[in-house]
Amino acid sequence: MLLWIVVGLLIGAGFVFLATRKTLKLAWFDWIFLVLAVIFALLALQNFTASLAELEPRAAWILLGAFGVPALLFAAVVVVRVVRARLSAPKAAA
Amino acid sequence: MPNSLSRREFLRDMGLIGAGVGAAAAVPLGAVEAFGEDWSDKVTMVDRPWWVKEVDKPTTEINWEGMQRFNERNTARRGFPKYVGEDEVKRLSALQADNVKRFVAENKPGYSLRDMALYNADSLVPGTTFLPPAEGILTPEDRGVSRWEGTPEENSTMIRAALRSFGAATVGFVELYPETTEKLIYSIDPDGKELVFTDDEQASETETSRFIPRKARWVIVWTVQMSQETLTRAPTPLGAMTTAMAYDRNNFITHRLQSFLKGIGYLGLGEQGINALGIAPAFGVMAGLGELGRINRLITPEYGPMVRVFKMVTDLPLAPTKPIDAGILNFCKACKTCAEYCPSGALSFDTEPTWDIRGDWNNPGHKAWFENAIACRSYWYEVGTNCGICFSVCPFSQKDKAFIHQMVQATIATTPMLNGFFTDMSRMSYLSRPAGEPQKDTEEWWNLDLPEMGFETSRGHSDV
Repeated sequence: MLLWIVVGLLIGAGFVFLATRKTLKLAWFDWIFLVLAVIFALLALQNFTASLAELEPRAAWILLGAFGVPALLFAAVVVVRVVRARLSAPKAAA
Repeated sequence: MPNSLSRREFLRDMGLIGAGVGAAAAVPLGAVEAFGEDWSDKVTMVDRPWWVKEVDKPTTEINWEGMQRFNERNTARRGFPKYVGEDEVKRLSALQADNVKRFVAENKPGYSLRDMALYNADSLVPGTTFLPPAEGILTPEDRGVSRWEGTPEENSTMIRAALRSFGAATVGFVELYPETTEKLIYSIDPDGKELVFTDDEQASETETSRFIPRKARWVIVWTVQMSQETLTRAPTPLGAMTTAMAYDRNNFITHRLQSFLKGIGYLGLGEQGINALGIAPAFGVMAGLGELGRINRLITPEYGPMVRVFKMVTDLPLAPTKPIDAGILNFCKACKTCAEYCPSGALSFDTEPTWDIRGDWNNPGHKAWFENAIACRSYWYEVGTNCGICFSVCPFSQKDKAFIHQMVQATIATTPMLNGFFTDMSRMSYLSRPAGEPQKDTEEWWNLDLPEMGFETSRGHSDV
């Protein structure tokens, strides 16, 4: 329980951090991708650790892949878009 | 939300959120009541997940007109010699003795000396009886007070609490009606005594019969958990020990319940022995403890098939619990894992359940996947146990820690579209060995740090 409270706080802090960065401009669909990435990452983490606790290591790795890969893909889309935007943005005047 | 946040503001806000969460977690029970929860609302059934829907008719179709009270001695358990002949029983018994002796000598996994000793360990708990103990229990009369009186709902809640404290898992109630549910009481008990409904005030037992007063119109039905982690070692004696333990524990539970009912002034008519009094899976289905699956046994939403089902007839008025639909029977149509892994080929591969029985060991009058119980039982002799592979490979047998189990259960209760996919995923994730072999290592079991009796007693309950 405490673990999930900590995880929730960290995620909340992460979103607040992203939302308040003036130099980081995210489109509305970036936020959807980010939320999906977090949801899938949480599912991957919960199912992986819980399946190990269930003494089912095979299921743990399968579920880590099944939920972890989509999480990485959603996060990667946002990261790639942010990096591209930065690279293509005009340099500020000195 | 502000466009920018200083580090100080951020830390302050996080601190407030943390304090709020901490305060919420520390709220005592009394405060919850103060928020409006009325604990007396909790009657008859436990709080179940939303996908376990109560229904008026069970998912198993029943033709009550076509059903007769069944003779327990026609089951494969008791009637096996009748179906295969005495010579075959002798041959199988000799085969069992030879096999077990050889397996122990060879130190076959699951048949080592310590596995055998564990399987055969005797609790010395006496068997159950039809009539409650005649002496040693203080009745309301002995105490000089009138017997317990409560509404049916209060009584159901009370019995459930009592049974839980005795060691039962889930508890439900069925009312007996001559044209329907009374037909689920056996006509003949395992020991050959006739079960007779009478207008007598008191229950009684003779050399040939057991008499159930018609005023005893309610059946208490309960499950006793088995250890999933242990039965996954089926069909070995190590795996089967959890089944034996469940029956042992029920002896204790039945004695306690009969004594409790007598102590509050009511009748508790129990099972004379294993599988006596009535058809356990049928009562489990009618009480809403689960659905009838392809293994032709009860599959519960809480523990899958990892339970044994027991019952007791009483004259304590009880509020019946309703049958359920959690998508279990529908899932069995697509799954067939138990049938494919059954080493004796006893289970049906038909997609739909049928009215047609496989033999006289089946009770007609309901639509089910009837099993070839003779093939099943013959295999028991080969392995020297009551097998249990169908229980151990069932997708519903998994534990409940991973969130995926709730996601899958909620989905299959809503739509059957993904049942085939979930079956494949379940086999890929949880089954690694061929049919006929334990799905997990038997030696590893001895090094596990399992909970008491090998299962989680908090599972399926909210007030833990």
